[in-house]
Amino acid sequence: MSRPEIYSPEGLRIDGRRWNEVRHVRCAINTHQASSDGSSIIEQGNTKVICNVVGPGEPTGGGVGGSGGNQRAKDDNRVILTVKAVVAPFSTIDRRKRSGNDNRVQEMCLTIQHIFEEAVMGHLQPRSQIEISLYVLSQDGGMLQACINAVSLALVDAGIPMYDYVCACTAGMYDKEVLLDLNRLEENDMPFLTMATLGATRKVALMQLETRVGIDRLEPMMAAAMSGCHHLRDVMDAEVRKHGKSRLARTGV
Amino acid sequence: MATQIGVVLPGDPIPLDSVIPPSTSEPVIQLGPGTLHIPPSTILPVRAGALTASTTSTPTTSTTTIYVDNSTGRYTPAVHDVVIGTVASRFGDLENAYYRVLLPSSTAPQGILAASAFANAASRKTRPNLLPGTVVYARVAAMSLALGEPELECFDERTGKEAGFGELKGGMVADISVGLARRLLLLSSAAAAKANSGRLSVVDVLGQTLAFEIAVGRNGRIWVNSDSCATTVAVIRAIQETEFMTYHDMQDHVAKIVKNLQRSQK
Amino acid sequence: MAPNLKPSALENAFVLKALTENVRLDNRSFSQMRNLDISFSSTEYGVVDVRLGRTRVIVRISAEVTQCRSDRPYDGLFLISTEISPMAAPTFEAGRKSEEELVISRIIEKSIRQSQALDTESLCILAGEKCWLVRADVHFLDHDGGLLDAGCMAVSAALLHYRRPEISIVGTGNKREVVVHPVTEKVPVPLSVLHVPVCVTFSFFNMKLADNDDEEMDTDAPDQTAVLVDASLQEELLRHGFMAVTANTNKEICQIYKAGQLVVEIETLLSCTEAAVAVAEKVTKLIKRRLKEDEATRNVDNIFEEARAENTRLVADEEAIREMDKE
Repeated sequence: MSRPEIYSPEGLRIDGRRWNEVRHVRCAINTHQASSDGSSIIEQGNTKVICNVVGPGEPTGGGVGGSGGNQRAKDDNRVILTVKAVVAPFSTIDRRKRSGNDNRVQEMCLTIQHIFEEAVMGHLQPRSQIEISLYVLSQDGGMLQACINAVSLALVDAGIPMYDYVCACTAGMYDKEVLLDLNRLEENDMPFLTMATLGATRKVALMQLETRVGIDRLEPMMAAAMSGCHHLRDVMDAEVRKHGKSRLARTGV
Repeated sequence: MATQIGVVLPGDPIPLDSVIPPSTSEPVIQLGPGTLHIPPSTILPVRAGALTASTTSTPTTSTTTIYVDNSTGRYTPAVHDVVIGTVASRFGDLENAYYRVLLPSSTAPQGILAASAFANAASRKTRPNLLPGTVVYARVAAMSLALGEPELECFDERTGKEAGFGELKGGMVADISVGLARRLLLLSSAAAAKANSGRLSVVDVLGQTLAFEIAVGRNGRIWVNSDSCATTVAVIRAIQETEFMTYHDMQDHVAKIVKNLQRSQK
Repeated sequence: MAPNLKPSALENAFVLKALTENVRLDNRSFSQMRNLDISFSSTEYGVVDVRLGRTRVIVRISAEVTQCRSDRPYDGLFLISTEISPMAAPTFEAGRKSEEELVISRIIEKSIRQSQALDTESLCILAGEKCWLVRADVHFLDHDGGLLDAGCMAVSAALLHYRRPEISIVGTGNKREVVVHPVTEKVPVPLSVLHVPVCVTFSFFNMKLADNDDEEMDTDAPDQTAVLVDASLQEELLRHGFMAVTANTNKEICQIYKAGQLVVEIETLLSCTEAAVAVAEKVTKLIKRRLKEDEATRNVDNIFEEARAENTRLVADEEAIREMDKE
């Protein structure tokens, strides 16, 4: 079988998208009312993540590498965030049991913690803790971006004051073409970066690049990823507004 | 007057004859830090450092204090010492509030400072309210090694006045070695400089050309404040960098730093 | 040295105020690195000692012949171990992985291993059977900020300096065996290093937090972020965010890590990556220079040239010819 073409001369990708199209996004908030104070589910293409938020509440410690304790010592006047992620063994094609101590997953948790420590108005809830749990059900590229978007939505659902949504998107460079929002096949085949912005601004909360790329390729990738972030913000915002309207309609006030 | 006799190592013999003035009939020897008396008449150093003796004498009697001068990594709190600490937290009730004060590079990691131990602390309203992270200049009022936590006060014990103690506002704190802190405090008076054959401390040399405020804590911390950040940084760097220089090298180095500073401010 | 404490409010305010006056605590300019010194062990290959200001890191490279991994039969193995012991600073606990250690080990891993700085295919000896296991042990000896930058440089330099023992394959078919020749017997060979990654950490300070008593500042005004290269420990404790960029002299970026904390304008980040390339060029130049100096001290009387494998083989061949002539 010949390898599928990553980017055809006609300008189509493996899954039929153009270079600047993101995958289909489906998201919902308030999906797990009983178990958490805020919850969300997001599907970006075939990547699927559930997020639960509990808090703000009494600090219990824990978090990445048992860092809850350190965190508290560091700053008493801000909210403590703990992030735990579970990557389901059935989330990839070849079933694999991941241990909880996986460095990659731990790094991702830490990254998400640092992003939202800045995005959440932490000074409003001193000496309290927000627990964020992530469940990655299905992976098809862009796990980190889906997780960040899911956390944003769940925090909004939990009614936690934030400066803006944090929205994340990936962009890759295939030869000289920028491709937006990569799936797994594309991720394995080209250098790509993940970026997260604070709402629809030019302010960057996260930028991660894990593959070697020429510095002249960087700028177009960053620009594309940023526009992807802004688009995702609109999608997420529309969903939250829709949910809000339906809630308001049901209160009967 | 203090004279340095030479470097001693633990167990070295101490040349007592050279320490005691020969004219006195009843010499008294006081043993300071770093010395050990083994009865009946053996005196040994127990630390490595410069053996130092200081003698006060009348025509008939003399008292000689001998101690080993060295630089320790950590500071051991002792009563009357001035220290610079950072407020960590507040505890107790409104009437009897206390602060926990962190003392970096000290053997006792934190001291207790009562809110009533300030110069104008007669009524609750005039007591300062210190937030965590505040830097204070304080004096060790009581210390017991068994209890561990030194008790701090922020007023002059003789006059009851503020005398520079209390919260340090503005400026910058920096770490220096414990030994240097002690030497700076020793040499801070003009009389001490005279005793040191006219040699000024690095602080006084800096003071000839720059205007700044300084507080030295016995626990190896200094606080410096001035009109500009550049001056403050220059003063701190000059003090830190000249610790192991000869007197003339120190003067040259300070002159160089001051010159660079003045050039950058033009 | 004082144990690392949470900096006081006064230090925090002063550092920010000083930055508004373009002053750093050690009088460096914002883009200036501390004194960098790289030295190699005179007795062993692949042992490097990097000092960045008062920060000190030692890296040791070692190699052994081992079994190939079944899923990658054409690749050798390359491991980097970065454990931070309490030797670096009393705040690090032995055996417990701190956040900082996790981040440092991941970034060094991505910078060097994932960017294919070491050509792992060249480490394969017999496909599917035997390969080299190259191990880089990073020891952090003293911590005054910049552990990551110093660690990454040290691993890069050590890989360039290391020489693995020469090997030869004896026998045929299933009876093939790998013979490792000691360094005293055959001249050891360098590793195939494809590029030299250099990691540069940029520390961000939010200048809006300086001078609280000033009247309301224009919140939309750009460039409210001070960017410092190679922060000292004190600056690291006080900074609001950071970005680690790994670059090489081919004008390539191997890795970017900016995870949360202070949000920074995209233009600032882009200019940081350009600055990183410039720093990488400077550091690589120093590494190369030091390597040359080290080689000069070892290569007295041009012994390397004399001891080349080709030379010995020539001699052996001549002897063989002479023996054949006798017969």
